Amino acid sequence: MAKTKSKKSELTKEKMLHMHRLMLDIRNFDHKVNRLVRKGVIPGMTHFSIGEEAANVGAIGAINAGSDLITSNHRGHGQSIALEIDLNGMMAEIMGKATGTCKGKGGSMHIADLDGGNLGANGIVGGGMGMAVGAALTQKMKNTGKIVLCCFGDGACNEGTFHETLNIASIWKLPVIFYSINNLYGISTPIKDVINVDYNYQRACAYGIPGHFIEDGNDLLAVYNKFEEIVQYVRDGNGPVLVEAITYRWLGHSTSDPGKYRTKKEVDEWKQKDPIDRFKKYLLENKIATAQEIEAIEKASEDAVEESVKFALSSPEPSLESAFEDIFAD
Amino acid sequence: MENKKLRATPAARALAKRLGVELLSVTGTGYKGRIHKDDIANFNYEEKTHVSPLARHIAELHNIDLKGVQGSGHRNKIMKDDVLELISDPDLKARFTLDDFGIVTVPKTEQALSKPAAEVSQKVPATPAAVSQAATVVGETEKVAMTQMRKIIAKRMTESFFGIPTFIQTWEVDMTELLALRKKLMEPIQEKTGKKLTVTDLISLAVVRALLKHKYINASLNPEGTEMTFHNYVNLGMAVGLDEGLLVPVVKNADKMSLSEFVVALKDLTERTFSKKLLPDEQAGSTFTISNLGMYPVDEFTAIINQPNAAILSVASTKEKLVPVNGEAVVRPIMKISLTSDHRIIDGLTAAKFMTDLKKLLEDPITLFI
Amino acid sequence: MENNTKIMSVRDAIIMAMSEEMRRDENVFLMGEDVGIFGGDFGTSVGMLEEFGQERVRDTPISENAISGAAIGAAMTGMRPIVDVTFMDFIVYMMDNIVNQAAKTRYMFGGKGQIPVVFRAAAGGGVGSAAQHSQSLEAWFTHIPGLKVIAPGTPADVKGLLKAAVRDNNPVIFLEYKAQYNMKGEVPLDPEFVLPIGKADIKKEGKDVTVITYGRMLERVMQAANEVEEAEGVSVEVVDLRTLAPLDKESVLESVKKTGKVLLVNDAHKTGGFIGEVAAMIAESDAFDYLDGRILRLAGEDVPIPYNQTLEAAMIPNVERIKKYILKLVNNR
Repeated sequence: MAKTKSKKSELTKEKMLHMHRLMLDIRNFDHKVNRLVRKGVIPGMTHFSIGEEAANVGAIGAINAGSDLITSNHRGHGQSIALEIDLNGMMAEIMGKATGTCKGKGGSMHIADLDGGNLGANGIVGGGMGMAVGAALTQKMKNTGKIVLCCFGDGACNEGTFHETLNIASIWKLPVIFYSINNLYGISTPIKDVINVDYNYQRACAYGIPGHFIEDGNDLLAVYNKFEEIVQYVRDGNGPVLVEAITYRWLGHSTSDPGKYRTKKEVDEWKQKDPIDRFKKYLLENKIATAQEIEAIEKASEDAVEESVKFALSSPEPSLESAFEDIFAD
Repeated sequence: MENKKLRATPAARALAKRLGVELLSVTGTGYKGRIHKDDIANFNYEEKTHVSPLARHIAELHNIDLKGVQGSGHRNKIMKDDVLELISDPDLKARFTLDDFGIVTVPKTEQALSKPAAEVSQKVPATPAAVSQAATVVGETEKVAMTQMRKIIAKRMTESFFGIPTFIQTWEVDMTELLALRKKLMEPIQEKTGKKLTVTDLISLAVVRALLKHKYINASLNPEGTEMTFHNYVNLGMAVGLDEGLLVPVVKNADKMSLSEFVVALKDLTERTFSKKLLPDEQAGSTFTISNLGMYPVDEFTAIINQPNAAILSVASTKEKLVPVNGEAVVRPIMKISLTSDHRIIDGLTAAKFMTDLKKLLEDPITLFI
Repeated sequence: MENNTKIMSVRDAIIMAMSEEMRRDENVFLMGEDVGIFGGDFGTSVGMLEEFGQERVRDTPISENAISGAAIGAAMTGMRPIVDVTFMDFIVYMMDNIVNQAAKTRYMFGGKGQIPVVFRAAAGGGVGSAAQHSQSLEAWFTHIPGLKVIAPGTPADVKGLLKAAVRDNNPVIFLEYKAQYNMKGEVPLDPEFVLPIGKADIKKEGKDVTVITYGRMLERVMQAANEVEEAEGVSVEVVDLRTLAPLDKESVLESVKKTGKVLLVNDAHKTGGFIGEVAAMIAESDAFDYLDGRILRLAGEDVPIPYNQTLEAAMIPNVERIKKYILKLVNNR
């Protein structure tokens, strides 16, 4: 199959509203899950993407959703929702129900949607990087023209796998975008304390690949436009790319994190840079959408999330036998 | 000295349970006296290796194998002194010591060189007490205590003989037709079952048939003699004589068997009786018993009832006799059978009716098919 | 199925198996350190670069994490990679990808996706390569649900089971033994000669003692069994497990019930070794009532493998010790 050169797609109103909706979905979904965890309805570990919506949606907006592949990390809600996973299935999975995307056996850290190109969230930091490289290898060997978006955080850049996978992708010229969503903390350690360079994108030169920097990862269009560029580059067969976006998570690392390592002042400052508010303002000021249109989207998003909770609550628990299923493929 | 637990492998325990062997009676050949399956299989009620607990303990400490050693104690029981004497002789000790792998530490060739085999084998010198006992006897006698098996047989025979008021009826049977039938059936039965058809098999089948029509003969009476049990099936006991005594294996549901099935079943039970692999379950539950001495030239005899049966049939040998047939003297093979009956539930007429039917079946065996 | 066989080494059987599978299915490819022009650290891919080219016989940098991760990602997206781990000791670098990713992905995703990947590792010692290059680590992987573990002991079994591993849709850890790459045996030439995973093989029938083994020790067990039969008349039954996970419990228990006496032999360390699992499985099964002796294990000593050849040889079971242990059971010790 011959590779066609990809063109920069037009950023239509439809697309922009769609991305706004996805950001709202992430925000509403995670807020809801947070509340349900505190109420004791949802058990187990969950990690929230609240505050990082633009970094997620902007990037995924630039790939061919459903065709291109992504790998994710433990903070995978944002990516999964940006890839338009079924919210009902996702909420049910987080509640551990049989109707979840993984039959209740994976949970928040292993959300996946293989049919949609989502090779899964991963409980091991950097765990998805090897997989992304392998997936990209397949696309190269089979000449499919698809690319892989490998999402991870700032902490993963110090894992051995980061270095090994960037190296191997660079020598084999694999179609991978290595995307570090830098929210400035690896649980409690600030990034400044764990690397000797300013930012991780600077490490790209060690592998002879381009390193891109998105200083304001909360600016949806900045993220999107940069990614359009990168996606084109990678799809054209130029090999892998490392890109880093700066953003911030509003809540703790996970539900069990009181966040003693950050000041309230800092958190509040970042809340002022809310990506959703900023994009809403942009849409209104540039008369791309009306207030009513945006309100309608906001309501639709809230309804969809409510719907997913209802669906999940009324779904059955998985059977005991299901614990012994799906270990092997036939 | 510690209170040691019995060592036995699971397989040994399972077999012991099945054969009704008491583990405490068995000497184990395994490590630290552990009882193995073969020890149970080879267990003979008469041959118990007797070892005193102390002697066993000392032997284990020195890794000595006591198999076959005869001691100076009661019934050749191996006592502490016997073992101490054995291990005090370095030569002897070496030959009976086993290493961790159960292999004798001194190789066989050295054994042959040091002492002649016969002297070495199993005897430990007798103590003075044993020697003096032998000196006062005039001729040779052999005192043997009754085995467990003998004791049980003795008890049962006594109970039956003195407990039941019996009467006996002896009948003569012309075996011409039966013997001819046997000849005809030999090959087909051999082909079907791989076994030889005997006269006993055919007699048994006739007995079973007759029993089904005479419920009092096939009945059981409880020990107190107060309750009769009638069976609508026949479990046929066949007395088998071993050197050690009498055993009665039981062919269960003989009434439901074809001739070939019966042949196989009886042969199997008899073989296992001789090889001592009979299960306790297979010696119980008979409703009638046959005692067959026909292989010896005995004219007639009367067996003792096998309780709780109501009767027992004694089968004597078949002899050529001159008998009148239609006024002419002819030579016919004649067999005497005797029925010993419990007169508490069977009377003369009942017995006679049974024997009439039986005689008819035996003399005209074609009627077995009707 | 053709009946042609040929005497060949384990090494040649491996090359044959991989080549046949790569001819048969274009998604199968080999990756690892020095598999291309060098022909593999143990010569197990000699000639393959020439036939299949460098895309499908793919040399990698020394990056076990990336190698294993890439293999798994490729497997998840439609390819069927074979990874040459080289020395099994290096599989330790691959543990996260094998244990946390490959073994669990299908399960965590509720039955979606499959990871058809084979990790071929050269296990065991006997070549003087000392502690960090002589380990047999199969026990670790048998402990992980979602992995299959195979350890064949003859060239024919190597070929048949490697092909089966490639065709299986799950991650497989395939043990080869460094000391046996040159071992020769009769191997069927039929390209459809595939053995079933999860089935043990009775390499020798007997009635007095059962010896259960696999991999490198199979050869020694067979020799010991034959010698002890000739010298002492002991009839030994040899059960070759071939697949460790999933274990063929039925064949094992049938043999145990038959003889009542069991010896288990492997070259890996005794403590925490796989034969301990088999022994426990026997002890808790209904074959327990048939046991007529202790369940004995003969394994590698619990020491790192020493460099000195004499010392090393003494640290793993040999024919003499195997015979002694057989006799120990026969003598009811």
